[in-house]
Amino acid sequence: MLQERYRVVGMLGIGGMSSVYQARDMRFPTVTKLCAVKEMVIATSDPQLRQLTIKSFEREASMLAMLDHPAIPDVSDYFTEGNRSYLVQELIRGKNLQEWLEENETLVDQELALDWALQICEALAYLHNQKPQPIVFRDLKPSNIMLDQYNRIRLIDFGIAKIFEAEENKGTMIGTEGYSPPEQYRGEATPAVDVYALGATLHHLMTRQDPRLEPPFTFGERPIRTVNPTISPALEAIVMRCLSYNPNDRFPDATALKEALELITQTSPSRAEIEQLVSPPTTVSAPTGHHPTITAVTTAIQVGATKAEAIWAFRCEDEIRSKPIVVGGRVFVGAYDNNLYAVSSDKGEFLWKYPTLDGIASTPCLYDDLVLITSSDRHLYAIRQHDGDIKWRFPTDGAIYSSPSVRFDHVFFGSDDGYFYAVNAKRGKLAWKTNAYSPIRSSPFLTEERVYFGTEGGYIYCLEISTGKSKWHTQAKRAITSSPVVADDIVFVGSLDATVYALDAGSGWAIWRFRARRPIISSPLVHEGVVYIGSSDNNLYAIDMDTGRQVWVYEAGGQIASSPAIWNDAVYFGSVDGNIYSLTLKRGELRWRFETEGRVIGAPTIVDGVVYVGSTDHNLYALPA
Amino acid sequence: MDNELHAPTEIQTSPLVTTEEKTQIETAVSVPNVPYLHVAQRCDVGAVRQRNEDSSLIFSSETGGHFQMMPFGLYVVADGMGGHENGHMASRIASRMAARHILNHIYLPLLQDDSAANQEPIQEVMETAVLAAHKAIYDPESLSDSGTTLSVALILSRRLYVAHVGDSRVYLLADDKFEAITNDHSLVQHLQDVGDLTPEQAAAYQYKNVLLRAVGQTEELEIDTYTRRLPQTGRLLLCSDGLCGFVPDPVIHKIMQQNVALEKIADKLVATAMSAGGYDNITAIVVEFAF
Repeated sequence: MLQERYRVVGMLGIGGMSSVYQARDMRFPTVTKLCAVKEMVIATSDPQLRQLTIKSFEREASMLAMLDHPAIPDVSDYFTEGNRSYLVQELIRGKNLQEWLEENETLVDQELALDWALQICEALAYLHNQKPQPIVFRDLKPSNIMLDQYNRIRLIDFGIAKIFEAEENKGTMIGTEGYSPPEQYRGEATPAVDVYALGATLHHLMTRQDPRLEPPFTFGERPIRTVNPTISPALEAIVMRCLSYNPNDRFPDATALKEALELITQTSPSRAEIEQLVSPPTTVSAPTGHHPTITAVTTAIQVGATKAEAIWAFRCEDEIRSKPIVVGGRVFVGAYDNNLYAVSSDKGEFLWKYPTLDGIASTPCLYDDLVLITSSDRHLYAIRQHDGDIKWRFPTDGAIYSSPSVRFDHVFFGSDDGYFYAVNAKRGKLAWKTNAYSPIRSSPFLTEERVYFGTEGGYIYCLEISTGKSKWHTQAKRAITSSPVVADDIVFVGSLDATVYALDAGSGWAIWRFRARRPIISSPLVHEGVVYIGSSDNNLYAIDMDTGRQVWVYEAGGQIASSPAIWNDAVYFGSVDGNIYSLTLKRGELRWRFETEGRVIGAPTIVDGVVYVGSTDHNLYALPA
Repeated sequence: MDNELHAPTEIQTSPLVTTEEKTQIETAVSVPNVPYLHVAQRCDVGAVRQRNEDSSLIFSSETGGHFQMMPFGLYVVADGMGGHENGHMASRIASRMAARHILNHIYLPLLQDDSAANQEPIQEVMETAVLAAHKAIYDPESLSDSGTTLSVALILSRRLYVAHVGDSRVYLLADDKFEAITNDHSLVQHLQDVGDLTPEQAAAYQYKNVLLRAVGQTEELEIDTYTRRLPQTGRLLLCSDGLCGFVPDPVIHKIMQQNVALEKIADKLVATAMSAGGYDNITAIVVEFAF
């Protein structure tokens, strides 16, 4: 008997720190009024902490008591006895969806899935719309969703529901592996967490594939319709959008999701409408409560007093550390989320993505109708430009960070396995490979007769392009990760020994060397007799090509690993301080800088006055040059 | 260029590559030419001076056979300070010291092992060569203020390297274009650069022989360096101001263009300077290159 009122008559469930009992309310002695009593153990012996825990429990209980929604059980009482706190709730008779799954062998079809999804969504939308802050359920999964005796959906186990407080969004993971999105592991709890968990729950119900038994965040590899063809492409697309790795790519909250679901229940949406539902928003921070739309980013470019805006931003699921390539209205870029993306160059709209098996740190290159990309999953891929289908792939024995280059119908690149490869670009077959005895992360420069690249062992090699035979090699003091450039028969390359080397392309003899203060990873760019290169000493150097003397230097706010690009009279590069800089070519004076949320390591590409550049904030930006 | 001599021991074509895999990629490789460096030089006392204070030096090397070395041509002109006591000594020491340094640091290593690894950058060698010449002459204790101009040109592989102090000149003739690729470190040039003298006034300027920079003169020495890839064929001229100070560039250009033996061109250049008065020592090194 608790509080001389609730007599425990049975056990409903037991969890890590809490148990739920079935109890009889003795305030009604003549009838049997049952309720659910949730018991939470206060684990701490510290009196202060104990006090805090009780306070926070009482606050949550009061908050829950204020909720009024048919799908949310009523809270009627709460109290603390000794080192245990109790929450008294309406007892829901029925079964939870986990039990339903165990008792039924059928797949949830389109109609039932939509019905449940909408009901859950409605309850979540009610929570997400609470003021002053949205309430995040945080642990949505089949076992927390009840189907009551009237076949209505009820959400249970609010013990962990927590008011979302922006300044308190760091904490330990609360949730269930398989149903919880990646950001929840970092302690984040936004409405997008519930959107993901609902997506994961629906995926489980529709496919009967338990996400707790699968590698985390792999829903994309298990399309619903291949298992359950009763599900429409539109519903599948909606669920898959809920399951986006990146919270900004999901529906921002349950209201937005509900609107999308309602759209497909009422009408038969057109393909374009489905695509719009599915495509990730191009906004950095999606507006809540609306369908995602393509919206220009409003991050300001700082130009002294004047400001400009990005044309668009496209969000990937992980960092972008490489340079995008733009051709025929398409931007191709590789991301650390394993995908090669194709995005429309005018609006930044998602066209397709091709998932490799590991992060992509290299820059794609184009050949006929193919886009060639290397991945740290050890493969070189040839993907069709128009639809993102694979044509062939070529394996090596090491992760590949070196970007491919094409000449004479062959693609050239190095691998961490220490070999430099020439592969037939039409068929993906090896032409030759040459052992460089150390990982190759530098990307090759190709001429009519030669191929030039650096190695982590600190060598710069020149091979015969037709046979892979060595022409010469020369040694720096440390690794050459920078990619060489040949201009006027001089090979320019940076080294981790903090030196820019100018070598005679014919013989490998050093012509001059330019010393920076810290290591160089940035690859040089040569334009009208000047070599532009960044260094981890934070400087972008402009060096006279013939003499090796400094023309000007610009100090950024952080290291420069990004390689520069030039458009008209300006040079563009990124820095780990998060900015993309534009300087005047002649004097190195700041024109503008654009601030991203992450380090900028990849090089910009400039086409028709638009700067395309990726950031480790996961965005690919299009900026006016 | 020879593969084998430059083929490093650290890198080998993989033995794992099977015959099927090891296909030759068809490229657009042109037929290689046989490169050469031809040279003629004249170092003449002139019509007026008693002593030749100019010094010149040429050293070129070409190899034949399967293992060909890249062509190596070293050309030096030094013009000892006119009127100074030991001008002829200064130009001789400077030209030979610079050449010795370059041969030691580039040519001899090339003969031993022409792997490019661990070699000093050529431009730095060129600069230190002129500095070595400077140190050999400069004597702060000495009352004599001997000095010299020094223009050093090196052709290695298909690239020209120049280190230069003073008012001797290096000209390049390529594709019918004739241009001086050195700047004069003279008072008269400086006055023209700042706009105090017109080219016409400069031609008649009284202190044409006053140098602003010279090897062996002051403790610190600033050296101009220059490098460029050479065209497939062309000619090079190194000369002292006994030629270029008295014969206008268009006239020199015309002579350099003539399709005759280099010796005849060198003779013609000296003869033209003589007919202009021969007031100074006249040195001309004419090089023809083809790659």
